[in-house]
Amino acid sequence: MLNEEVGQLVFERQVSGATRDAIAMFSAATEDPNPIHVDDGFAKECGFPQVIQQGPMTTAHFARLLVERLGRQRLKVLDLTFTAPVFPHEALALTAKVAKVEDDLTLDLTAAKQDGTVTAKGFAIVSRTPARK
Amino acid sequence: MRSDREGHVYPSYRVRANRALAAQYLQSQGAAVDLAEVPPTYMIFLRGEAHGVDLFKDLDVPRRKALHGGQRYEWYAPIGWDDDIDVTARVLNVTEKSTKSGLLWIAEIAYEYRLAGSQQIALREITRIIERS
Repeated sequence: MLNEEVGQLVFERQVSGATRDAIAMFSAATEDPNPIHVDDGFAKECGFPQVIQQGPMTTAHFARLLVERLGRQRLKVLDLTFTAPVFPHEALALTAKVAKVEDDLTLDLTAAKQDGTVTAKGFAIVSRTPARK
Repeated sequence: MRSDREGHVYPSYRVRANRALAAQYLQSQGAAVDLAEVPPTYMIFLRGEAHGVDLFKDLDVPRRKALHGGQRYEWYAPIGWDDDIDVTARVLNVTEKSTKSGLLWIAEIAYEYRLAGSQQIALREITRIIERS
Protein backbone atom coordinates (compact mmCIF):
# COMPACT_ATOMS: atom_id res chain seq x y z
CA MET A 1 0.00 0.00 0.00
CA LEU A 2 1.27 3.43 -0.94
CA ASN A 3 1.17 5.92 1.94
CA GLU A 4 0.60 8.81 -0.46
CA GLU A 5 3.01 11.17 1.28
CA VAL A 6 5.27 13.63 -0.50
CA GLY A 7 8.74 12.16 -0.86
CA GLN A 8 7.63 8.56 -0.60
CA LEU A 9 9.46 6.22 -2.94
CA VAL A 10 6.97 4.44 -5.19
CA PHE A 11 9.59 2.32 -6.87
CA GLU A 12 13.28 2.21 -7.63
CA ARG A 13 14.03 -0.49 -10.16
CA GLN A 14 17.00 -1.44 -12.23
CA VAL A 15 16.26 -2.46 -15.81
CA SER A 16 18.90 -4.40 -17.72
CA GLY A 17 20.60 -2.82 -20.68
CA ALA A 18 18.91 -3.66 -23.95
CA THR A 19 20.90 -5.69 -26.45
CA ARG A 20 21.19 -4.55 -30.07
CA ASP A 21 18.76 -7.32 -30.99
CA ALA A 22 16.27 -6.08 -28.41
CA ILE A 23 16.56 -2.51 -29.72
CA ALA A 24 16.01 -3.75 -33.27
CA MET A 25 13.03 -5.79 -32.09
CA PHE A 26 11.53 -2.71 -30.41
CA SER A 27 11.85 -0.84 -33.70
CA ALA A 28 10.09 -3.67 -35.52
CA ALA A 29 7.37 -3.90 -32.88
CA THR A 30 6.65 -0.16 -33.06
CA GLU A 31 7.01 0.03 -36.86
CA ASP A 32 9.77 2.60 -36.42
CA PRO A 33 11.75 3.03 -39.66
CA ASN A 34 14.47 5.26 -38.16
CA PRO A 35 17.87 3.65 -38.92
CA ILE A 36 19.50 5.34 -35.93
CA HIS A 37 18.42 2.36 -33.81
CA VAL A 38 19.78 -0.37 -36.07
CA ASP A 39 22.56 1.05 -38.24
CA ASP A 40 25.87 2.03 -36.60
CA GLY A 41 27.01 3.91 -39.71
CA PHE A 42 23.89 6.06 -39.72
CA ALA A 43 24.14 6.64 -35.95
CA LYS A 44 27.72 7.88 -36.44
CA GLU A 45 26.54 10.30 -39.13
CA CYS A 46 24.12 11.61 -36.51
CA GLY A 47 26.95 12.21 -34.05
CA PHE A 48 26.61 9.12 -31.87
CA PRO A 49 29.28 6.44 -31.44
CA GLN A 50 26.83 3.61 -32.14
CA VAL A 51 23.12 2.90 -32.36
CA ILE A 52 20.92 4.36 -29.63
CA GLN A 53 18.01 2.90 -27.72
CA GLN A 54 14.55 4.34 -28.37
CA GLY A 55 13.30 6.94 -25.87
CA PRO A 56 9.89 5.26 -25.99
CA MET A 57 11.48 2.12 -24.53
CA THR A 58 12.09 4.12 -21.35
CA THR A 59 8.48 5.36 -21.50
CA ALA A 60 7.32 1.77 -21.82
CA HIS A 61 9.42 0.67 -18.83
CA PHE A 62 7.92 3.43 -16.66
CA ALA A 63 4.38 2.63 -17.75
CA ARG A 64 4.87 -1.06 -17.04
CA LEU A 65 6.37 -0.43 -13.59
CA LEU A 66 3.62 2.04 -12.67
CA VAL A 67 0.99 -0.50 -13.68
CA GLU A 68 2.76 -3.24 -11.70
CA ARG A 69 2.99 -1.04 -8.60
CA LEU A 70 -0.33 0.83 -8.72
CA GLY A 71 -2.62 -0.91 -11.21
CA ARG A 72 -3.66 0.02 -14.71
CA GLN A 73 -6.82 1.85 -13.70
CA ARG A 74 -4.94 4.49 -11.70
CA LEU A 75 -2.67 5.60 -14.52
CA LYS A 76 -3.79 8.94 -16.04
CA VAL A 77 -0.77 10.77 -17.48
CA LEU A 78 2.86 9.93 -18.16
CA ASP A 79 5.10 12.74 -19.41
CA LEU A 80 8.83 12.24 -20.06
CA THR A 81 11.62 14.36 -21.49
CA PHE A 82 14.55 12.42 -22.92
CA THR A 83 17.74 14.12 -21.77
CA ALA A 84 20.61 11.86 -22.87
CA PRO A 85 21.09 8.97 -25.28
CA VAL A 86 21.04 5.37 -24.05
CA PHE A 87 23.34 2.92 -25.79
CA PRO A 88 23.11 -0.88 -26.02
CA HIS A 89 23.76 -2.77 -22.77
CA GLU A 90 23.42 0.33 -20.58
CA ALA A 91 21.32 -0.52 -17.55
CA LEU A 92 18.99 2.14 -16.18
CA ALA A 93 17.76 2.87 -12.68
CA LEU A 94 14.12 4.00 -12.84
CA THR A 95 12.76 5.90 -9.87
CA ALA A 96 9.31 7.20 -9.01
CA LYS A 97 8.61 9.37 -5.96
CA VAL A 98 5.49 11.14 -4.75
CA ALA A 99 5.85 14.86 -5.53
CA LYS A 100 2.34 16.23 -4.93
CA VAL A 101 -0.75 14.94 -3.16
CA GLU A 102 -3.87 16.67 -4.45
CA ASP A 103 -7.04 15.22 -5.98
CA ASP A 104 -4.56 13.00 -7.82
CA LEU A 105 -0.99 12.05 -7.04
CA THR A 106 1.89 13.49 -9.05
CA LEU A 107 4.98 11.31 -9.15
CA ASP A 108 8.42 12.56 -10.15
CA LEU A 109 10.16 10.13 -12.50
CA THR A 110 13.86 9.78 -13.24
CA ALA A 111 15.84 7.34 -15.35
CA ALA A 112 19.61 7.28 -14.86
CA LYS A 113 22.59 5.29 -16.01
CA GLN A 114 24.95 3.61 -13.55
CA ASP A 115 27.34 6.58 -13.83
CA GLY A 116 24.52 8.88 -12.73
CA THR A 117 23.73 10.39 -16.15
CA VAL A 118 20.04 11.21 -16.24
CA THR A 119 18.53 9.95 -19.48
CA ALA A 120 14.89 10.85 -18.87
CA LYS A 121 12.91 12.84 -16.37
CA GLY A 122 9.30 13.77 -16.03
CA PHE A 123 6.18 12.95 -14.09
CA ALA A 124 3.16 10.72 -13.89
CA ILE A 125 -0.31 11.60 -12.65
CA VAL A 126 -2.16 8.75 -11.00
CA SER A 127 -5.46 8.65 -9.20
CA ARG A 128 -5.42 8.29 -5.43
CA THR A 129 -6.43 5.12 -3.70
CA PRO A 130 -10.24 5.48 -3.41
CA ALA A 131 -10.32 4.78 0.32
CA ARG A 132 -7.87 7.59 1.01
CA LYS A 133 -9.68 10.36 -0.86
CA MET B 1 11.95 23.05 -39.28
CA ARG B 2 8.83 24.42 -40.89
CA SER B 3 6.91 26.52 -38.39
CA ASP B 4 4.18 27.08 -40.99
CA ARG B 5 3.06 23.49 -40.32
CA GLU B 6 1.71 24.54 -36.92
CA GLY B 7 -1.92 23.50 -36.74
CA HIS B 8 -1.67 21.05 -39.63
CA VAL B 9 -4.00 18.09 -39.19
CA TYR B 10 -3.27 14.86 -41.02
CA PRO B 11 -6.03 12.71 -42.51
CA SER B 12 -7.08 10.19 -39.87
CA TYR B 13 -6.09 6.56 -40.16
CA ARG B 14 -7.44 3.40 -38.56
CA VAL B 15 -5.39 0.93 -36.53
CA ARG B 16 -6.02 -2.10 -34.36
CA ALA B 17 -3.67 -3.51 -31.73
CA ASN B 18 -1.76 -6.49 -33.03
CA ARG B 19 -0.99 -9.30 -30.57
CA ALA B 20 2.13 -10.46 -32.42
CA LEU B 21 3.61 -6.95 -32.45
CA ALA B 22 2.62 -6.44 -28.81
CA ALA B 23 4.38 -9.67 -27.87
CA GLN B 24 7.53 -8.44 -29.64
CA TYR B 25 7.09 -5.06 -27.95
CA LEU B 26 7.08 -6.64 -24.47
CA GLN B 27 9.82 -9.14 -25.27
CA SER B 28 12.13 -6.39 -26.52
CA GLN B 29 11.81 -4.68 -23.13
CA GLY B 30 12.67 -7.87 -21.28
CA ALA B 31 9.15 -7.88 -19.85
CA ALA B 32 6.84 -10.84 -19.38
CA VAL B 33 4.73 -11.39 -22.48
CA ASP B 34 1.33 -10.95 -20.81
CA LEU B 35 -1.27 -10.20 -23.48
CA ALA B 36 -4.29 -10.02 -21.18
CA GLU B 37 -4.50 -6.30 -22.04
CA VAL B 38 -3.06 -4.05 -24.73
CA PRO B 39 0.15 -2.63 -23.16
CA PRO B 40 -0.47 1.01 -22.12
CA THR B 41 2.11 2.52 -24.45
CA TYR B 42 1.64 0.06 -27.33
CA MET B 43 -0.21 2.72 -29.34
CA ILE B 44 2.64 4.92 -30.44
CA PHE B 45 3.07 7.77 -32.92
CA LEU B 46 5.75 5.84 -34.80
CA ARG B 47 3.08 3.67 -36.42
CA GLY B 48 1.71 6.81 -38.07
CA GLU B 49 4.55 6.96 -40.56
CA ALA B 50 3.17 3.84 -42.26
CA HIS B 51 -0.16 5.71 -42.55
CA GLY B 52 1.07 8.93 -44.12
CA VAL B 53 2.16 10.95 -41.08
CA ASP B 54 5.67 11.62 -42.29
CA LEU B 55 6.81 14.21 -39.77
CA PHE B 56 10.42 14.35 -40.92
CA LYS B 57 9.41 15.17 -44.47
CA ASP B 58 6.51 17.47 -43.65
CA LEU B 59 8.39 19.45 -41.02
CA ASP B 60 11.52 19.41 -43.18
CA VAL B 61 13.67 17.83 -40.48
CA PRO B 62 16.66 15.84 -41.76
CA ARG B 63 16.77 12.56 -39.85
CA ARG B 64 20.46 13.07 -39.18
CA LYS B 65 19.69 16.23 -37.21
CA ALA B 66 16.62 14.88 -35.43
CA LEU B 67 16.27 13.80 -31.84
CA HIS B 68 13.29 12.48 -29.97
CA GLY B 69 12.77 14.97 -27.16
CA GLY B 70 10.02 13.30 -25.20
CA GLN B 71 6.55 11.85 -24.98
CA ARG B 72 3.33 12.38 -23.08
CA TYR B 73 0.52 9.86 -22.72
CA GLU B 74 -2.95 10.71 -21.42
CA TRP B 75 -5.23 7.72 -20.88
CA TYR B 76 -9.01 8.20 -20.97
CA ALA B 77 -10.55 4.80 -21.74
CA PRO B 78 -9.30 1.25 -22.22
CA ILE B 79 -8.36 0.03 -25.69
CA GLY B 80 -9.17 -3.62 -26.40
CA TRP B 81 -7.58 -6.00 -28.86
CA ASP B 82 -10.62 -5.98 -31.12
CA ASP B 83 -11.24 -2.23 -31.08
CA ASP B 84 -10.82 -0.28 -34.27
CA ILE B 85 -9.09 2.97 -33.41
CA ASP B 86 -9.23 6.13 -35.50
CA VAL B 87 -6.08 8.20 -35.11
CA THR B 88 -5.73 11.89 -35.91
CA ALA B 89 -2.37 13.65 -35.74
CA ARG B 90 -2.02 17.41 -35.36
CA VAL B 91 1.10 19.60 -35.25
CA LEU B 92 0.47 21.56 -32.05
CA ASN B 93 3.38 23.96 -32.16
CA VAL B 94 6.89 24.58 -33.45
CA THR B 95 9.22 26.58 -31.23
CA GLU B 96 12.81 27.77 -31.42
CA LYS B 97 15.12 27.57 -28.43
CA SER B 98 18.64 28.91 -27.95
CA THR B 99 20.93 26.56 -26.04
CA LYS B 100 24.65 26.37 -25.19
CA SER B 101 25.15 24.00 -28.12
CA GLY B 102 23.22 26.11 -30.60
CA LEU B 103 19.69 26.63 -31.79
CA LEU B 104 17.09 23.90 -31.43
CA TRP B 105 13.67 23.65 -33.01
CA ILE B 106 11.05 21.67 -31.16
CA ALA B 107 7.77 20.43 -32.60
CA GLU B 108 4.98 18.96 -30.51
CA ILE B 109 2.62 16.64 -32.35
CA ALA B 110 -0.54 15.29 -30.74
CA TYR B 111 -2.09 11.96 -31.72
CA GLU B 112 -5.68 11.37 -30.65
CA TYR B 113 -6.90 7.78 -30.55
CA ARG B 114 -10.69 7.44 -30.71
CA LEU B 115 -12.80 4.30 -30.52
CA ALA B 116 -14.14 3.94 -34.05
CA GLY B 117 -17.76 3.25 -33.09
CA SER B 118 -18.45 5.88 -30.46
CA GLN B 119 -15.61 8.26 -31.35
CA GLN B 120 -14.90 8.40 -27.61
CA ILE B 121 -11.33 9.49 -26.98
CA ALA B 122 -9.31 6.63 -25.50
CA LEU B 123 -5.80 8.03 -25.59
CA ARG B 124 -3.89 11.18 -26.38
CA GLU B 125 -0.18 10.97 -27.09
CA ILE B 126 2.09 13.94 -27.65
CA THR B 127 5.52 13.44 -29.12
CA ARG B 128 8.29 16.03 -29.22
CA ILE B 129 10.66 16.08 -32.18
CA ILE B 130 13.84 18.15 -31.94
CA GLU B 131 15.97 19.44 -34.79
CA ARG B 132 19.57 20.36 -33.97
CA SER B 133 21.22 23.21 -35.85
